Amino acid sequence: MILIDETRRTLGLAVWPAVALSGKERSWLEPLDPPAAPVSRPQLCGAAAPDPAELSRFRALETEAKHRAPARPLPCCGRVRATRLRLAAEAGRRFLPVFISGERGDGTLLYLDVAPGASAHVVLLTLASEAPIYIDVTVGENAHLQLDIIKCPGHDSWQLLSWRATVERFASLVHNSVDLDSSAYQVGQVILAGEGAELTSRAAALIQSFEEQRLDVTVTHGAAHSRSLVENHGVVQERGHGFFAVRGRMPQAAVAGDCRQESRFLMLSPQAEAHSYPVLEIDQYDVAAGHAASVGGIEPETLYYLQSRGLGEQDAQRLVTTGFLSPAIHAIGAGSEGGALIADCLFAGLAERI
Amino acid sequence: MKPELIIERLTCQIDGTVILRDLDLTVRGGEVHAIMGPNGTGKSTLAAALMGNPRYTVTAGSVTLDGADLLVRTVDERARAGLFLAMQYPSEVSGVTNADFLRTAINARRPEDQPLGLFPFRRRLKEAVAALEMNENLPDRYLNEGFSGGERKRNEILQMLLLEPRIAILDEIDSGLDIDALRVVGANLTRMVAERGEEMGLLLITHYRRLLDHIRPDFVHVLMDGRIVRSGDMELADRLERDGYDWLREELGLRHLSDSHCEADT
Ligand SMILES: Nc1ncnc2c1ncn2[C@@H]1O[C@H](COP(=O)(O)OP(=O)(O)O)[C@@H](O)[C@H]1O
Ligand SMILES: [Mg+2]
Repeated sequence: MILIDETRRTLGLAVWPAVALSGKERSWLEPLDPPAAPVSRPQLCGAAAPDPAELSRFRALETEAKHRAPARPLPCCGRVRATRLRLAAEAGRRFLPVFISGERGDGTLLYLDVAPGASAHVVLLTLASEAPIYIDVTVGENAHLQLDIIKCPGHDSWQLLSWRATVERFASLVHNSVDLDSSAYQVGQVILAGEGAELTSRAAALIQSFEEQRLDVTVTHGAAHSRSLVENHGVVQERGHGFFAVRGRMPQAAVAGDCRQESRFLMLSPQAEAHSYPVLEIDQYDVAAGHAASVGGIEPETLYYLQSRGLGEQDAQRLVTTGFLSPAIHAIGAGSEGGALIADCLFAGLAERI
Repeated sequence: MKPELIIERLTCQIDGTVILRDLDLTVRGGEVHAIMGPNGTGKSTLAAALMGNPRYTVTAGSVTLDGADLLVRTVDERARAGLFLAMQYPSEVSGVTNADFLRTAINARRPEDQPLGLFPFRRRLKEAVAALEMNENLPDRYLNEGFSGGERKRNEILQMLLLEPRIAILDEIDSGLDIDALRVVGANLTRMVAERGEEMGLLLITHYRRLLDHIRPDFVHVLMDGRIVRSGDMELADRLERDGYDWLREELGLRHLSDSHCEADT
């Protein structure tokens, strides 16, 4: 707990309450400093442990079998401690940091229910977490959720995380993942279940030497007029390894849907490795869909342009690299006042690492 | 000190093809020069060679800025020495906001312990954005990403206003600008020339005369076949506008553009 309070202070989040979860505990953390206005406490309670069939739904789809097995697969078995967090519709938009630390032992499962019409910015910050983390999200009708998943800078460990989300009618989910440190295997599965449901999902991965970051996102357009945009950016250093798989599925129900994805890697060394697997499964004529992917170094013309404005070569490289990862971080900053503070810390962390 | 850019017998090639041969030109503070010429004659090559674009190789000749050799310097050193190039095709840099980029560029040319503060910077930026009649959200947009042709060109001028170069080269700044944008850009350039006086020399590279209605050059040069073949004043630009380049080719005994391409290829 001391560790978490320290982190809350470092991130500038002392005036907000928070939630702490691990395989052993579940707690509501009151603000460390007096908040500007009183904050109500959402419902936070235990939930029944999932049975093996339910847990296996968190497994990534087929890419694991087809393409180079990950250095550490996501274990979808074993003991799990489950928690339910319910966010009701309120006057304003709720900002809630959730700290997850699961050093070893049991996995953590969080059911996150966002009530119809509610609006929230939930930031999951994982600390030293070798144990698997499962998130099951429901975004109710007309609700808006921004769910950011951040590997807290400076906590080196594997992050094994799988999140699933169901987005109901005219609801929207914005998701940003940021990992500037060590290896991670993150699986995301989103079902746009109701008409007009929307998803925007971004990732920023700084993949350091001998680390591996693997992201696997599947979006299923289960209803008409649903829209999705998945935009993953990775910077790969030295002998790092990046892997992005993004699957857009547009069954017959996806009438007038719009499904876009982009996977980009910026390679900072010839030894760096990256793979991207874009997949679109389309079963409906009346849709718009597209994917873009790129793997490459910094464009010499871009460096030249920046240098022609007086930036030294290193500064120019740093600017391009930071910029490459910034869409997800900017989006976290745009999510709320607390998000802006977290984004500042992430940019500072990024500057230390490149 | 009044800046002085002296180009002597400059010869420059790209991928083994010689584009500029023995080019001479001097630009001093307080002067406005225009370089005109048909497409593909080496105008952008000259700009690139001066700025130090790594794709171009200078094989002979010299360029000095205020007496110091420019060609031995890196691109960013040239920029910090006061050279500025508004590019014909500015790059996009995703994720880097215009404001962050500009502040980094301004601070790159200031002593490390005296960076420009956020508030004075924001104020200057706001003024420049207003002067160029640009969209107010411009500072927070990513550098040139999704900009229209005209927006990119204005953005180049915005950078020039804030970076206050000693010698500024504008490569086809008029292309992609509609009449209104051209007027705004012209007015800003004219004002900057007046305000900076002898502190800045300006080299306008243009394909058409219309930019010169908005900012009047003291010297007009024609670049053809890799060198400056004729220098004069506004009258020369008028004649080129009226009669094209053929009369000049004939007078000089130059072959037509298509022929000179073949020559360059062999
Ligand atoms: N990579 C290249 N190899 C050979 N010739 C080139 C290359 N790039 C450009 N050129 C040629 O250089 C010439 C000058 O180009 P440029 O300086 O852009 O002309 P301008 O700006 O006057 O229109 C053109 O004829 C063009 O075809
Ligand atoms: Mg040109």
